[in-house]
Amino acid sequence: MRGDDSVAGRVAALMRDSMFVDPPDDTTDIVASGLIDSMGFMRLFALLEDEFGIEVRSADLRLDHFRTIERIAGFVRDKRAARQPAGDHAAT
Amino acid sequence: MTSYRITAYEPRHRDEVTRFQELLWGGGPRGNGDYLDWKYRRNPYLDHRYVTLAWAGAELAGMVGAFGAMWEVGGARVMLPCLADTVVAPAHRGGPLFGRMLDDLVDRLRGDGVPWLLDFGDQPAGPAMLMQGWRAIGPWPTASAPPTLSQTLADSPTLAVSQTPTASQTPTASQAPAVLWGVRSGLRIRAAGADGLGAMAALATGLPSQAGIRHVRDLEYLTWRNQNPLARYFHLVAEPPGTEPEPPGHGPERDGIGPEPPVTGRGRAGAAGARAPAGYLVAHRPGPAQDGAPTTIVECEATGDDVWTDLLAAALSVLPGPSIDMWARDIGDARRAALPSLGFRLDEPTGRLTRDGHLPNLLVRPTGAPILSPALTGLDVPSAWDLRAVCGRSWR
Repeated sequence: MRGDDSVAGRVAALMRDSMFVDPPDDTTDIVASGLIDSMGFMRLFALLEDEFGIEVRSADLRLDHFRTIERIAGFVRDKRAARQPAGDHAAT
Repeated sequence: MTSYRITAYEPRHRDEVTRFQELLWGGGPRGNGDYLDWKYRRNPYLDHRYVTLAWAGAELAGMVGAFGAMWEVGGARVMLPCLADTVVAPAHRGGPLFGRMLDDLVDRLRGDGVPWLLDFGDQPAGPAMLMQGWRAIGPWPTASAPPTLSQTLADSPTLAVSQTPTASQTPTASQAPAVLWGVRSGLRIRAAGADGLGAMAALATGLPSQAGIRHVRDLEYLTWRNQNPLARYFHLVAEPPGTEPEPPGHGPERDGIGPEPPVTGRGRAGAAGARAPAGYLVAHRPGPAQDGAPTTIVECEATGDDVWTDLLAAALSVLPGPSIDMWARDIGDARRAALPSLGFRLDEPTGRLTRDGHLPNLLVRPTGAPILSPALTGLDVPSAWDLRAVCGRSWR
């Protein structure tokens, strides 16, 4: 069982607390189940960016990246690992 | 869970679609019907065959349209359909209906051998579409400026040309056509009517093409677009003095638009020897009357940067609306650099999906149909597209 401080735990908390979406587990297909619609995904991307300091770009939008909490957590970990060194900031 | 039936549009659905599209078009029964006919029956490239409807029982629950647009690439022309007029009834939103209609449309396109489906629209479902296999060509910058409107020119009905000019839009002897002069180019800039479309098309088709696929803007297209019953189009042309008889009086002096230049000794063209313009500009305002909506410059073509800049300056001087907007992709470095001097503010993409959603984009979807022409491969790559003078608002 994952800890709440894990990336997956934080993603689940974001969805539950900010989007009122509560998948039963980390492997539930949130796309097929319709738990999140198109506008919901934009909200999710913004939450992920704010929570984890990553940037979601068009090229990142592959369905498999966001199908489950588990995969979203993997996406976040990969983005953080590839993030620019501290001191480089995205254009505002 | 609601059970939906997806069908292709048939003419017998016209009245129902006309009523349904009040959700988006807002033109009333007659206006919506005229718009439907214009876009899908009188479209010179494609009829209504790919308009897709979703039914919940006998109730129309959703629609996606696909209208025809002509493109040229590698010396050949090809029709590629553009997604448009997508609506899901409020009671059916938040579910799979949009995706199901799209899937049905793509299946039919694939079956008919159409390799690509384009989308220039502002789709709320953009992220979902990207996750379902659509590819993004943009987003790209926009430019926006407040108009520097002259009371005299704004009142001139000759600046607005519709497909059915009314008596109030027909210039009378007392209504001098708006005439301005470009201080950079020295050319006369005036409002043009539908009779100027041929010359505009000649200029557009004669301009050299950047690499890639570009939109065909010939007389057939310009004529059809000008007949949009739910929009107003404004046409400005830049031409040398002497192209037409001088109108009585001259336009007022404006920043970037000056008084009549001194006579240079150039000969005047005879009345029968009409010249192609050196540039033209087309602007769009949505209808029915939406006073708060911006005016969008949907095309600006010119033989030189000075002419192009003067046309934009003229547009700011004469066009109505709270702001004058334009898409700013593929316009070249010199023209892009000129925009701030005219008062345009550029809104640039950041690269972040959550911040660029308001910017224009082109999404393309491969249908899975075999691509028989090499020129049509790789259209999912941004560098494949010359999107100068393309604007999704052209067709709204």
